[in-house]
Amino acid sequence: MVDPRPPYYPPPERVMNFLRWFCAPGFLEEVEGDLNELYQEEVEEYGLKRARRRFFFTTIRYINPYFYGKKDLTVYLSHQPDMFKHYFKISLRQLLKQRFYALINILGLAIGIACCIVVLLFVYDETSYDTYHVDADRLYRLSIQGVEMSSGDESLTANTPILWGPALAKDYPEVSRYARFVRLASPANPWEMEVGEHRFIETDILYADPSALELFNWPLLQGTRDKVLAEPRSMVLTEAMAHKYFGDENPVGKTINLDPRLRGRDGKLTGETFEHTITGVLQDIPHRSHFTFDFLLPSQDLNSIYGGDINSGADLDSWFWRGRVGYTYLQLQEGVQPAALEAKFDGFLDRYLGDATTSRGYYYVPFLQPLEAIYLDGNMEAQLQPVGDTTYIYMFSVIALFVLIIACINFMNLATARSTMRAREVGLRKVVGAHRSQLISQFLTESVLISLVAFLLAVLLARLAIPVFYSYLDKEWVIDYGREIPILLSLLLIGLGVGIFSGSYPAFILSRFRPVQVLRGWLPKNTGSVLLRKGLVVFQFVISAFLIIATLTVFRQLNFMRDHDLGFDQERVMVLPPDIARPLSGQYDAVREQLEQLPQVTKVTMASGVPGQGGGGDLYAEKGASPESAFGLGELYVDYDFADIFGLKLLAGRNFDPAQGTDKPMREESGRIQEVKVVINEEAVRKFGWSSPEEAIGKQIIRDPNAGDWTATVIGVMKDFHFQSLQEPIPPGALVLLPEYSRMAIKLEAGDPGPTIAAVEKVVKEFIPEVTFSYNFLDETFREQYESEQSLGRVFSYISFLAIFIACLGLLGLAAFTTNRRIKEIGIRKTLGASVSDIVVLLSKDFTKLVIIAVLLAIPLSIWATEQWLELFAYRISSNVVTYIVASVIAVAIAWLTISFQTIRAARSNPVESLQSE
Amino acid sequence: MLRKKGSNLGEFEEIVMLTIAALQEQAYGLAIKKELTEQAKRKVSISAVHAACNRLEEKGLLSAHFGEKSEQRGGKRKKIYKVSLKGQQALYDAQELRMRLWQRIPRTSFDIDIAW
Repeated sequence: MVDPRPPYYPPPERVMNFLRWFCAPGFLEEVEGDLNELYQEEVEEYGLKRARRRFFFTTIRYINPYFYGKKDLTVYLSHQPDMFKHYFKISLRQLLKQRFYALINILGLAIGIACCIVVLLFVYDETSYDTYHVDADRLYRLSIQGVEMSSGDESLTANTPILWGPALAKDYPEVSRYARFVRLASPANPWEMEVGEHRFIETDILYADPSALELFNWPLLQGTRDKVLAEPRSMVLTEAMAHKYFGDENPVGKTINLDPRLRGRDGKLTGETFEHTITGVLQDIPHRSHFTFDFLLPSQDLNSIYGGDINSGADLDSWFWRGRVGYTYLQLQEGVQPAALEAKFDGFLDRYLGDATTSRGYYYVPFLQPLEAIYLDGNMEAQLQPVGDTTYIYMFSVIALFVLIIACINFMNLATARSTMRAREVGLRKVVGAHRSQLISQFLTESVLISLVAFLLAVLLARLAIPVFYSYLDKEWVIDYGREIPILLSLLLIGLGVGIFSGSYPAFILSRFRPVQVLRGWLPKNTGSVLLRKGLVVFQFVISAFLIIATLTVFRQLNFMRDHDLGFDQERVMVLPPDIARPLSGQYDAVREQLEQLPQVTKVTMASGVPGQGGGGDLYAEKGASPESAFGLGELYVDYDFADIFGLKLLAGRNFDPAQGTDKPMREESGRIQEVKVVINEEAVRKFGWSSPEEAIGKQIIRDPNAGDWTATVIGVMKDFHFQSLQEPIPPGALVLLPEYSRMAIKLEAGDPGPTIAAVEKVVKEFIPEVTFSYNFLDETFREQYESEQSLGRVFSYISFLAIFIACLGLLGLAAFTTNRRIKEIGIRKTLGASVSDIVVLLSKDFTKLVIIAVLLAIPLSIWATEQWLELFAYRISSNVVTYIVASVIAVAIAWLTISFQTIRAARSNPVESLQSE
Repeated sequence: MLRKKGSNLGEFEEIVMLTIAALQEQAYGLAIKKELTEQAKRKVSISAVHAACNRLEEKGLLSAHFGEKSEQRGGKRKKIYKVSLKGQQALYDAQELRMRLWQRIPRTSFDIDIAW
């Protein structure tokens, strides 16, 4: 039988479900029914497929606020401003009512956010070096990796031979342009600039190829980019320098007389000066550049100084090809991968240098260093300027984040702990119709308000802290508001995020309360959150204890390095630097005689270097051994009494002795040195493979055995002494009696060195009147090598102080809260005869447990971390139980002290007061 | 005559109400839509009709009751609209207003009319 009723086509289920979800229930019956009916008709009329499509488009037309439940929504929206006003008002009242907790929260968060601001600015500063150049991604510095063949040790150097750049550009089409910079002036060897009667000492002077200003697009204020360095004896200076020399006058076309203080082979000043005409003015070089300068001179002027053409080249054996004197920057063609070019360097070296790349126990591999990576790629020798250190960036970021987390934990803990106090409020609000989402927004408003106030305070704190922080890192802080405001805005987002993050947990807990229960007097036990709260306190103190241990370790290592027996006497030794000592060495005997007559001077000597400064080295092998066995031996060219001044101890043999008459270097007639006498150290004895110092006496070693330089006879063995910082192991070394000196050491007697310094200066000026006098004291300069460790120690100590401070604030808040809740218990206990100390112990017990757990967790963590850091030092402290005990005691004691404010007060309170009211 | 804001009828509302009045007992959403399409020769979406009817109901110009279920409607009832007394008044008012305005138009305003 045929069904008389028309067939029923069920409409698309998913679309219908959407409608049911979206539409307010009041409309559904009608809408659903009509749509259903319409669909049946349309299936008949258009067929299933089209009807389904039409059904979909008909249904989506219901997406509008009216069908969603327009009435609710508009009411909701129209009340929002009022609600916010309300939330704000309630939040403010809460903060004012609970001043103590608000203060703890705001202070903690402010310090945490301030740490983050400082570190973020620092990180931003460090990571944005050299990014301002157009096409910076195509710019590379040609650097060299040297590998010592005997040990496989690698070392990277930033500078390259002067002729490599032009040769590379000529041979490889991948290189579009190159530019070289050469630095002759240095802080140790400053140049004098003269305009009219004004004279200035300058150090930041670079010789540069004309292409330099095209590769690096520093804004040129005057002059044409491709012309300013094209003429010989031209000069480009920065805006600041133009102002310094010429005031407001236009400097272009003016001349500056430049005295490079060049010295002839005899060490005397040649007195030659150069007159340079100013052709261009550059805007000051941004400080975020891996090198900056004040003056650029055309590279072709180097031809006359070097006595050779720096472009077309010279003999392949000359130092133009081999000596690393300049900094070569290459611009690659678009789309060229640096690795593709690096792969061809082998051929390049073979063609021009042949075996020279593997001479002297090293082989050299050039490589390309992306411009933007230079600043943070650190750890290279011969940088144009000191570069950054990624270790610091990671370390500080992690620590700042930790401090912020500690502050956030305070916030969460205090809010959840006090949640019971507000349970009734929540209950009543719910009774009068507050929705859960409204309660959440109210609590979030409260926390965001706190975090905003904290943020403003943090900006102030950060502003105060940044210069201090930067001075510890020995960096200059340059304010650039255009750059900082976007950062501050993004930090504001972080501040808000912190508020929402730390406020969300308490908000969700609080809004969950059941009104009937809380109003009946049932208070939520929330045992889960108690456990969480304890966990968070432990976490805070793990970080704090870790920071205490880290700080103690850094300072212990610093003390160790300061007090470590360096193996030589570093006290009261005045050192004159090379620019004074070299010219004096010509008149050494006369100078010494005069200096030693000064009352406070005990001894004077000269050498090529003193511990911590100068010195060199070369390859040595035992006579008769194969040249391949040669290794690097540090050399100090010294005079007879070097060992006396520095108190070096002899283990075997004898020191240099003028009475012997045979110690002086023996020269061939040509002046070439044939044989010298040396005193070597213990490490050298071990390296040569001799069994004892005594055995070493009389042995002969050959310098640079491939080329066959001089032969040295060992006449003595001295105890090892630290020539370099304690980060380095003591290398094999030798004292060579050879009059090639670049430093003068003057040993003084105890007492105020002031008058003697003046007297020494007077003597020096008699011999070389043209030199600016300078000096340093050996122990000070030796200690300066630990500058970065010292600043690390200081930063660590401040940050761990802050972390502990914030953690203690939180602890104080929690202690205040719990003692308040137990005030009746305390009253009852006291009336039953408990003493004050009983009560204090009772109240402190819980917190003490937490802190002790934290310390136990922190110890293995810090052992691991400090071991990593100490690995950097060849001479280091070992892990020490005392450190951990001290740190634990400090952490527990601070925690005790903090909570004692609350516990003692509570324990001493009169039980009558707490018990009388109910 | 001062009117309360909101009791003024919109053009679409007026047409919908007149259609409902014309349809009598058969005035439910889909039927209204069909009638409108037929009489006014304009494309009306069912959602627009629903929105208008419900708004008019909220204003008290329409009253509504649910009719019988049917399988064709997926087991849902029809919502059948009736013009309420207040609605009738509003329709009369609207008509009267128009008439008054028409009468106030001087004959000369529509030159074309005279010429015709």
